[in-house]
Amino acid sequence: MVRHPILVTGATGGIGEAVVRKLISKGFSVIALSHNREQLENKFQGLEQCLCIDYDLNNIDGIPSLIKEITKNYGGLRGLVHCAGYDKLAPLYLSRMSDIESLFSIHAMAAIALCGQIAKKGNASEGCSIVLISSLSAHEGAAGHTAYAAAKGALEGFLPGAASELAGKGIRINLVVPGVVRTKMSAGFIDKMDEEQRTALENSYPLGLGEPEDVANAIVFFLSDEAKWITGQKLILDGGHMCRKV
Amino acid sequence: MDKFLELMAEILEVNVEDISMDTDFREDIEDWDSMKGFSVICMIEDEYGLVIDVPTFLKCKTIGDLYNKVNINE
Repeated sequence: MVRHPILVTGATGGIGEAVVRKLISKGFSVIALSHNREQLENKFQGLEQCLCIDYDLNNIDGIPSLIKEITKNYGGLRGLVHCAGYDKLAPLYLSRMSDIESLFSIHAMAAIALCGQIAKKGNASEGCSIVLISSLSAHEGAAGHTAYAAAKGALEGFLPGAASELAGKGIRINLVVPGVVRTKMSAGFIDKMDEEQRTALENSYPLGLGEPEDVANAIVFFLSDEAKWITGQKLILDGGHMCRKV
Repeated sequence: MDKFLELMAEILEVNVEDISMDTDFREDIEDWDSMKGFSVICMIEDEYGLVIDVPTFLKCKTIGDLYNKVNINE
């Protein structure tokens, strides 16, 4: 029975799926949310402690009703992991406003709207913990990913203020900053590299490119009571990329 | 064909009159770089719904090669 679940958005993506599976293995109740109903059913149908909700987070105005419905039926949320999002590769001079708006909407505005609803009285259960996902592209020169990086940077700017407000409500919020992780999303740009570029990318990660589980492990730690004294923090997960020999 | 040339001109940052199907985009475009290459592949995906793999892209020398390779029917 699903009770006081952790809401995982983008649950059918690489990191989202790994988070859902890890949380279930740890005994948490989970709501797996995605706009892709078919993939939700294929990946999670029949899993105990997991409820699938088909919702498109581009509908930001519908988020209050979504959270209200969830909390009415399953009790206050024990947590949120906002994995939903995508990247749009484009050099700055070819960036389109519609793409920029869409990236900010899914990465930043949807996240802020979800956190805002969880902050409302009665929508969070005891020990509630929120984990947002930024990107190393917001920390180093990621050519071709400017709008994506800026949207992730918006999340990082949101973090301290949100942590300050939410701490008084007993809600923690932290953020992970992954480097390149092997997912369908990263394949979108890795597959467009030639052999030399791909090798250079892989060599810039001393511990290898990340796997979704590497990120899920850190996220689940932040969600757990073992992290009950941690809020407002960013954790870089990059397989040694930022401290590599140059 | 005109639309394809216009899209290529935008990526290559040149006037559309300055390129043709015979333009060798790697050699004839002074500031050609890998980012422009990424952009060409993305443009073909976005505008024509065609995924062109890197080896195929690398075999294309001219804009015409690219146009023919992906078999675009405008």
